[in-house]
Amino acid sequence: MKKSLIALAVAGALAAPMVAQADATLYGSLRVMVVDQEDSELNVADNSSRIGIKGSVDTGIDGVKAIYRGEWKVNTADGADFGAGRLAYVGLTGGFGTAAIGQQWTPYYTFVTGATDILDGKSTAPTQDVFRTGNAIAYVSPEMGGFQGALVAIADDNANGEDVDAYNVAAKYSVAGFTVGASLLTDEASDNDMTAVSAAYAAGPLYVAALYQDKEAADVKQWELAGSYAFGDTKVLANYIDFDNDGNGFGLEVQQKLGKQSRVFANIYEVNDDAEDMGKKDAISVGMRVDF
Amino acid sequence: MFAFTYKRFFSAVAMVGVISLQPASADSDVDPLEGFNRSVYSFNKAVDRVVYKPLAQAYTSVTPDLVEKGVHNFFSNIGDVTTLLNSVLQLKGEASAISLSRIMFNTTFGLGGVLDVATPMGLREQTEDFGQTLGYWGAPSGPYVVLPLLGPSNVRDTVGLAVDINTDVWGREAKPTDSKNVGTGLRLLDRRVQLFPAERLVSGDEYVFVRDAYMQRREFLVQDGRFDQQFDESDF
Repeated sequence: MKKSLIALAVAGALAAPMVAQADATLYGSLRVMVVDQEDSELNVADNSSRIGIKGSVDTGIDGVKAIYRGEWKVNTADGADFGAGRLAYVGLTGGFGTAAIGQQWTPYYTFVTGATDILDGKSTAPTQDVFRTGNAIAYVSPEMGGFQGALVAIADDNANGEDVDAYNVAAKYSVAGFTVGASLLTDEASDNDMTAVSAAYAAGPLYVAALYQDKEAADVKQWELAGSYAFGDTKVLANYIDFDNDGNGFGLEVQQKLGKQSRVFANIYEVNDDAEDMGKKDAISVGMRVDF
Repeated sequence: MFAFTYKRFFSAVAMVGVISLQPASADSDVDPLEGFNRSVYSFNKAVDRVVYKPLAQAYTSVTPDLVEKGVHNFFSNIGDVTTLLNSVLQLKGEASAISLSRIMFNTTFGLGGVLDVATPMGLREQTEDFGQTLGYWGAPSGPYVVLPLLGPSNVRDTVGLAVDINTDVWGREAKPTDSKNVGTGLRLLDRRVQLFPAERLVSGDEYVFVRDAYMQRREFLVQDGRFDQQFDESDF
């Protein structure tokens, strides 16, 4: 009798905060790999681990919700500490699309350059250098008949004397498995633009994508091809990279799903001599990730 | 459509039955070199009886099972490279993907191939060699040939074997030569040990049994277990 009363009291105490946080989702992805890189010793390395919280709350405005999200790096390889933040933003979402302010993903990556960032190992994202941005005000349109657009303004008082330091516009169009995307990133101070165009095609177990980037600041035009083929719980992936100035390389990877939320991979990354002169390195990487 | 497939299935079963029951009917077509083959066969048999089999038996009784399994897995992983090469040459997309995945997982997570982690992952071992590739592209098997020391083969597979030996990763890459030879020795012992269970199946004229088993097995492998031939029902 007493026991059940205590249980009831405990349940009551727990229920209150749970109701208050009903919409918050705690999520994460821990990714660790072992890397054998040319000219380096064997290394256990973190592979973009993150833990985050996200959710939405009612605004009282019909059909409009306030959203929030925070996401932090976790150094799984050494120290196990929470590292720098990845994302932190608030915003409003509804039939009009989504407007958010804070540190968030750039549409340059999510609409365009992410199309070829499909591998897990060292060969992935070889030409991508824009991922997330701070000081951002972003608007992403709803999907309209396969079309979607986005605009981001980056305003940082500490940067370089402009009200808006950089703009990022992006658009993509999807139909029947095909997706094409294009994005422009302009730096108001330096006048150095980055342009990216990608195309992807997905059909059942097959996925292929191509990406082209023109980076004015670095004065390079780079392109990349990536593809994957899935069978059972196994996926074979490959990418080919042209770094410009005769540098090129390729990656080959196999992934094995272990249930729905974890997987292992083995990746081979090979670059030619010209790419090695740019600081790229051959590597074999083997890793595991668990999502929750 | 269903009835058609059904009929073909039974024809295939009947066909297999006929081949097994009448192995001697096509001797002269399959085995014009029978006289030569039989003498090589008995030579091989003698070498096996005196040297090869006793060594293999000693190997399997002395070596702990765990080590034996490791040796087997290690060389299977190296053999998977040959399989991958030939799956690609036969334009088999999924089989190539499976072999590639097996090699990459077994070489890394499987500690250089000693553990076969790919099989429990659902990646079953494939077997392809250059003889099968030639067969896939339409080369006939040619007459049955027994090769000295190397054993049962046919003209096509002898060519295939030469290519396989020359492209073998262990043969090309293993260094230094001493270790390579020790490894090759272990590999041959392992190969012989793998044949122990099959020996118990032999019945009747051993030469004919081995020949028919070999030729049928190769045909089966080239066709990947499918029987694409059209059968004339009046034959049955």
